[in-house]
Amino acid sequence: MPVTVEAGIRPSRWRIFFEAVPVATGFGLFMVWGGHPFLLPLWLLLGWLFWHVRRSEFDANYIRVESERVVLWQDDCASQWQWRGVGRLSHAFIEWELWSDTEERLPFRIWRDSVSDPSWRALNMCFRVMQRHAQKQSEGSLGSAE
Amino acid sequence: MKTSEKQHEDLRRLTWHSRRGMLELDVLLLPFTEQRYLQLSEEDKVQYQRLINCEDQDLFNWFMEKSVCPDSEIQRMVNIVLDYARHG
Repeated sequence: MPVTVEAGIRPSRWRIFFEAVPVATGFGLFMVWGGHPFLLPLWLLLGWLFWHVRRSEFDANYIRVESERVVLWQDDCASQWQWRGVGRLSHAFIEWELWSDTEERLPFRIWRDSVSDPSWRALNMCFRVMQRHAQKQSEGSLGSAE
Repeated sequence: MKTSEKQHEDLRRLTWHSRRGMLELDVLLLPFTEQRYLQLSEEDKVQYQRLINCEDQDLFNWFMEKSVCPDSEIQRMVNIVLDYARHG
């Protein structure tokens, strides 16, 4: 059995901060330069669009990573995904590009403050150790499909 | 002492040694020690014990593939542990 890492996920405060920064910056610039009055509704529209796009992110409350297989729980409903080794590891978040059996793509991000410290370290380790393996698995399965 | 008793004593000792200061290493080493160690050849068991005796920071760098162990036998054991973590 491959190494398995499980973690509970809480809502992130960082995410709200990162989402708010571009909108606040834009609004701040508008206030400083006092631009044209039509800029205000434009910023409000952009802010609403940005917020709407970010709100549509997948909010899981539990994750299990077992090699290249990832299971996400959302309100007691589990969904299975495959990781093909594509993603991003930063100090603030880990992002996996996940794929379902029906080739549905899901960019899934876990913020640093949404998991406990041991979970963050275990997920970090899992990402680093499994990434190359997941890429090879994906190349192998794509190669055999062709 | 019987061979099986000695093996289990070795296993208990190694399990204890596999509990490191770094959680990342615990996640990799503990399952390997508990589930795979007894199936290793005698030569590999010796190499695994050598690996366990290395410093945490070195182990971390080898397992995260940030560097390669200069000792090829220990590096081979690192690869065996990583392979187990990936495939089971």
